Amino acid sequence: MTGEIVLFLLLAVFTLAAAAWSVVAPKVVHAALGLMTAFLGVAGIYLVLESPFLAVVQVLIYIGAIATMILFAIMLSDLPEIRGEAIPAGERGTRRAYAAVPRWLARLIPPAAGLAFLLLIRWEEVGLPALSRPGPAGAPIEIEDLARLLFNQYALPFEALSVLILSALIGALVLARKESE
Amino acid sequence: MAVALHFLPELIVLAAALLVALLDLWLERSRQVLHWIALAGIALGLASLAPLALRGPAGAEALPVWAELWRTDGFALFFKALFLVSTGLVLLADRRFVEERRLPAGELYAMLLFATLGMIMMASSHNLMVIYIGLELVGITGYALSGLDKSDPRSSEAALKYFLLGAVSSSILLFGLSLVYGLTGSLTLEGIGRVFTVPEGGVGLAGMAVLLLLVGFGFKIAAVPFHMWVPDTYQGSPTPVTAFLSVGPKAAGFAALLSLFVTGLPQATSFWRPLLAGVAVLTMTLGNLAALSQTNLKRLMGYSSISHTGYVLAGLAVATPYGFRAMLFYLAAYAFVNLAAFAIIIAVGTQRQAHELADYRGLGQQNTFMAVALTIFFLSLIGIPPTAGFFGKLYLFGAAIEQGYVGLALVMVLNGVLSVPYYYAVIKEMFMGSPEPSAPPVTWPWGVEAAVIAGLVVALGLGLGSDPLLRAATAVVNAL
Repeated sequence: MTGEIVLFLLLAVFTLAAAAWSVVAPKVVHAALGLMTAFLGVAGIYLVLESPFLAVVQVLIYIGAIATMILFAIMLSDLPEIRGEAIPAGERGTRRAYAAVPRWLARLIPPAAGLAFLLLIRWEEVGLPALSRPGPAGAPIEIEDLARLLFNQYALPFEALSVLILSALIGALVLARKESE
Repeated sequence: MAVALHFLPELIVLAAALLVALLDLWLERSRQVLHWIALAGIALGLASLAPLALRGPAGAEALPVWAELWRTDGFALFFKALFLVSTGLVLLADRRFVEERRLPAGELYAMLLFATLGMIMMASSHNLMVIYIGLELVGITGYALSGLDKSDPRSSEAALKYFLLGAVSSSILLFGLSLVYGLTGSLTLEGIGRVFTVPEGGVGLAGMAVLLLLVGFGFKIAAVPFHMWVPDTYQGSPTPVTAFLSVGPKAAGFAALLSLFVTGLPQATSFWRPLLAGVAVLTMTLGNLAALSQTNLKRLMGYSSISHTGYVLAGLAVATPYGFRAMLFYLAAYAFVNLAAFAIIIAVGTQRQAHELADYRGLGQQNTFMAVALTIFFLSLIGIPPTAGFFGKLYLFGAAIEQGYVGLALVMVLNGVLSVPYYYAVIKEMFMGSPEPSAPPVTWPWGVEAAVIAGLVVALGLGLGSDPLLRAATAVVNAL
């Protein structure tokens, strides 16, 4: 087994566990934190795939912006069941399964996840099997190359995406706006 | 200029959409201006197709830039015209509805135009990325459009169901597309077509990719078993949006499915052909069976649109030029006739506030012309000569027989019979019942009349001479 596969398997298990935690967590804030952790795992997978730029963007946008927005939305909402009082246990099978996990283990998951991630970034320096570097020989893809592709060859889908976002914005506004009658 | 010509329809529709969205901020009182701008955008977009179409097949040369991303061949022009006409018909029919229900006119028109932009953009591209973005543009505007009537909880329900299932299916579609990209290393359909095969037995990543694509597109075109959202979304959405959903996104899904499967996955035909045929048979039959027991006309049209999806899919499943030609013919005839029928349903629903069969009782006495028109549209949807729908079914039938798919042809014929009772129930109410004394005759805005007359011209004109559309469809298939 090469280093990549070990690394990928670890990250995959980590991401899936975080995603599962996000689904079954009885508190919405915990679910949001689980989602953040899963995003982090996906960023790690991008690193394994040698796309550091994508990994940085993933951390910046998904963890930095989207997950933070989710936390803000939870904080600003009025409903007690959203703000953190636990949903009554035993409602559903998944929640019962979650309740069976010992408390201390559940509390260990986030710090363990963070540590594991730091470890993965410093993979080779801690003496784990070396990563092979397959792929085309030659210069690695720089951010400049990406930019050139994005704004020349793929300028059209890029512009189309901006229209997509604009229409999504208009749609969200019109659905969320209060009627002023 | 020559290059700009290739993007002219998109630019015009985009400009109209932005103009409508912006002017909405100032024109509080005169919303009719927005309606005119939207209609003008569609009309100009259609007109801008003419110079491209007039160049003939020799004019379909590749662009000097973005040759892999963009082409304006016969296929693109056919579908662009179809999409623009469908949105135009919806716009014609919906004006009074928007005023009476106090829907946000600017947002409604802007989002209809954005959706149209997504569709016509997608028709021009042989690149997976652009195709996906185009489909998403149609999808996202569709979710918002179906929830526009905030005074009606059913409308919110419609939007929520459409959105949740749509989001899941989009990610399934994207997963399928990324598997295809991973297996072939190419984003263009031609590049994929050179490499992509499904090994014997049909398992493995390639088979999985095709299955995922089928599920994703199955949702977009509302094929059984991915049709669960249709009845509630069609019934709950504002009626003009229902009309749009029953044609626009469906036709867009078919355009993408056709170009992707025929240009991108031709070496896997023996794998996807039986799958599509199975889905087609299921879709036709279940759609018709479920429609039999409906009393709400919007829900009935929802199930009927599912069954028509089955017919169009059958044309794709045959996988011969004849099949594709029949499919395009059927799709175009269905678009016109279905939208014209919806124009009448919109007008009746605006004044009677409900869409039950009983609301149509005695319409034949009160509004003979409209009742006769609706009858002709239903006859065309059933497939009775001399209407466009008859030839649509005839060509599909012929294509299936020619390829030796006798079972598929037989199912199509049986389904034609199966669809008679529920259309007939509406016709019976209109002509046999006597009108409720409390229900005044329906008045018809000019837009509805225009849409109905356009529908009549197509339904009867193609029924008497189907050559022009057939020639256009043949040209499209030759360009594939």
